[in-house]
Amino acid sequence: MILVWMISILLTGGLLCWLAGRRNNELVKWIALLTLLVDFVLVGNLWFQHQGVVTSGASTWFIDYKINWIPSFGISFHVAADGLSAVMLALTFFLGILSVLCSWNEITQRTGFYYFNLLWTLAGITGVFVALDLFLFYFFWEVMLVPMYFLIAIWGDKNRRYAAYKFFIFTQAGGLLMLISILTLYFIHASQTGTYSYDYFDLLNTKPEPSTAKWIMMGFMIAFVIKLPVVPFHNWLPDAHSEAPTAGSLILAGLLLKTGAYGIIRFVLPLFPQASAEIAWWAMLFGVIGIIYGAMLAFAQTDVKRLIAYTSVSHMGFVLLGIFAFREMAMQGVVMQMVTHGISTGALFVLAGMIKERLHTRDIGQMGGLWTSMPAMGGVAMVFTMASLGLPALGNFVAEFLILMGTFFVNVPFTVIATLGLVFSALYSLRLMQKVFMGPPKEEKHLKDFSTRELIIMAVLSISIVFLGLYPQPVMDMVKGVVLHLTMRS
Amino acid sequence: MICSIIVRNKGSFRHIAAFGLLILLIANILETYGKDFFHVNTMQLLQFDRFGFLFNSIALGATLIYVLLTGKEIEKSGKYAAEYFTLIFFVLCGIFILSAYDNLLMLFLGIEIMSIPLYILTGSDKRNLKSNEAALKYFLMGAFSTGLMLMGIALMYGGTGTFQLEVQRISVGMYKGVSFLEITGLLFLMVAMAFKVSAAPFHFWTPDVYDGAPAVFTSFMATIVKAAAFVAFIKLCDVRMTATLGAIDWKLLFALIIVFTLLIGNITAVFQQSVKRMLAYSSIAQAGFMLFALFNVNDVAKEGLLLYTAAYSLATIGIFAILVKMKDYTFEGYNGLAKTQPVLAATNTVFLLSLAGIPLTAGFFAKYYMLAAVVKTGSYIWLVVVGVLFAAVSVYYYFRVIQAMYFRNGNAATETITFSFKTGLIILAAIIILIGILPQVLLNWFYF
Repeated sequence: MILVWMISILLTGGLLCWLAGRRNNELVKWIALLTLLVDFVLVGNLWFQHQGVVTSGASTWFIDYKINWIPSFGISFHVAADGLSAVMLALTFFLGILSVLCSWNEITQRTGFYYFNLLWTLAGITGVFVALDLFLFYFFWEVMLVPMYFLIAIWGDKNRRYAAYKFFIFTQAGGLLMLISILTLYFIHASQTGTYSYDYFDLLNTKPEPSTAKWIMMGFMIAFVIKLPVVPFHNWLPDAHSEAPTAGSLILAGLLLKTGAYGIIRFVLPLFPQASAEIAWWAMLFGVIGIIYGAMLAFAQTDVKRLIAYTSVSHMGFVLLGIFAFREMAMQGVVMQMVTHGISTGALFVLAGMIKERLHTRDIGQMGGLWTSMPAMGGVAMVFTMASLGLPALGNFVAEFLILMGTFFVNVPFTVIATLGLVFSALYSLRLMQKVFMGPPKEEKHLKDFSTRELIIMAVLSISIVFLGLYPQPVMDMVKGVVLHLTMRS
Repeated sequence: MICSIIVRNKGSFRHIAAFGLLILLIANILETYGKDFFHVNTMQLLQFDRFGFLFNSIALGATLIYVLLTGKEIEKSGKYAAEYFTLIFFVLCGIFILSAYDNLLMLFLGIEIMSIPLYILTGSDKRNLKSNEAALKYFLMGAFSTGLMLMGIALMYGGTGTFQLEVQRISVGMYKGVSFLEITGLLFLMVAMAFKVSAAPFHFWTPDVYDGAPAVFTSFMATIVKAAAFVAFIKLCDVRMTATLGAIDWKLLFALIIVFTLLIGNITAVFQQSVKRMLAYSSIAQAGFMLFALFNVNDVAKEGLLLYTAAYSLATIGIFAILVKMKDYTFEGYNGLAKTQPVLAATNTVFLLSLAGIPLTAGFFAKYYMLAAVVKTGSYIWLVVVGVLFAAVSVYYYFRVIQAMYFRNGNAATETITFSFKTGLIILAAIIILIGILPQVLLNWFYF
């Protein structure tokens, strides 16, 4: 029930924001912040309550709630949480709070509608992370899309409409293909057992013909790899990320990409163990290509936000690589990567947003020497570029190291190439740092360093990334049961 | 039963028309539950079943909303306001025949009763050259297609010796009784029906007619009339297709028609500059989706078609109701509507999202049913894949309107908007969202 509460709190919070937006813009922000804080507390409570249960490893699901929605088709409102969901939920609300904070002054027009969209996107994402009815899952998958579209298209940058379209159509096409797969699976299940059901646990026992299973799995995969994104489908990402408002980029990079990875872990692997083992080699290949290709393109960008966007492509390559290694260690690394990438890339986007607020440009060529006037920002930026290149003691290192360790047992050449990707990441990260913060200042203009609000945002992010780098154990414990379960099945 | 409808159609003002519709709607719903007022022996020409009744309710309900929302515009569109309402009632009469026909002659009659008033309505804007052109075009093409249909029926009669939809076949020795004549006839019939539902490659009249006719009547044509043609078509497919064409792989032909319809409807809609014309092409695209139901007639498909017609009609009526109020029918004309008329823009967004098939709206479940109907059989999955890819394309042109309303600056000029009009739109949007969350509300009738 608590999961339903989380979603409905977000939805009502969103509606309240919209209503309040007509009268008082200040109030709106506080409502949004409060909504997310409440949810964050709820998920924190959940975490501590069930930590013991998770580590004991009896059953991986600690919350399970189900009511009928459209019984004649076996569609139910079935939400449940295990360790993986809990981690993702915590990340969702954590980044949600920050996204409200970082748009505090940035958004001045139609504030109410803005926070409405923000909260509804988050509600959709929350739903995706807990839905265990495939129909419901698809439903939330779409619900998170439309408000995001509005976020990009209304409050984005110059080229926002194009970017919003591209984002929407790519994801929509993938989503619909997934819907076909869901339907096929549903009917196969019905023909095998005689009952119509979209329920995850029911469908787990469905065994389609191997050749059919492969196609059904492809439908799921395509939706998830578009979201992730994997290289041939990454096209929407740089546009959407760079044109979105800061909070939009934060949510896109921090959360929406993770829904793709989550989908693969939650649905593709358990539902089609055999078929996914068959494509594992190809998936890992595409993961490696993504790592190298993303890094190379990132190096070539002149636009700060585009640069960061391409680093996401590179980092998500690690995720794909790790998932299809089917090793406990690699899978732990994947979950870590999802969390730490959310934090580190999110932080970089927030920084880019702050720079843009001050300089009114995203062009690296027009920056330089910002450290002199903004030492604090420079320092924080240093932390996160280092995180992104995988410096030990920061969260990303743990994640990437685990993934590489895990895949080493499976495929040595791929691991070697992926490790080379880390060298590339050092290249683009250092270039970013050098061009923006080092060197002689371009303008003599005095720029304001962090305000208190910005300082809070960055402090929280920095602390968490360092914490995860030094002591990743809580996250690992939380997902341990799920990961073991997964790797044992396949 | 049907006669009572004709009696009522002398209403001269929209209030009487609306009232008449309301009474009909109530009568129809009562009949659905088995309380008929008087009984007419239809000599096996008509057969009333739940499916037909439910569709009649939808058609009546949609027409009622249509008249309530755009009644004033109908009165304004020409000199003979009373006659327009009368014609609309005639069309409805044809629709009732179509939803219940059991005999090929009745099918022909229904189609004709439905079409002829439409030719007049199309040309009702007498001084407009485009309207006249559209009417003439529609009439010529329509007459030709009905000619084909009659030819088909005649051939089928020749082949089977009866006009009845369901043929009792007597096997005489080795010969099983499906003659060449019958097959040819059925193909002719199929072509004629494809023309009526504007499936490619028989769609060429649609954009011109929808664009040329006064927007109020386009709204009616594109929604309720089209839905009725589909209902007639599905009955034909249900009963006759496999029975006659059993061995022949007609599904491939059908699949090609669907792909073609989706392709032309969607791709051409992308390039339109006028919202009205875009809607004409989008109606072709939507027809492509509805054809999925005919492709594989089963319970899911029938239910789905009903839901689809309801969702599509309601949304399109809403969009047209707003379109009629706009001074400029191009995409630019919608620029900044969200600022000048927030209610119109918001409800229009709901309607457009529904057409695009986004969850939380009726259109989503409608599309879902269509896909499910085909996926259920397990074959022709590629067709479904093509379908959803085009659905993704359709997002582009529906969202263009939303973009114009919300993200572009401009002063969208509208006619004066009354309070009741706004309320009507809000109720319509609420219905669409309600069906989107709980489709059972509508479908429970079906199971009942």
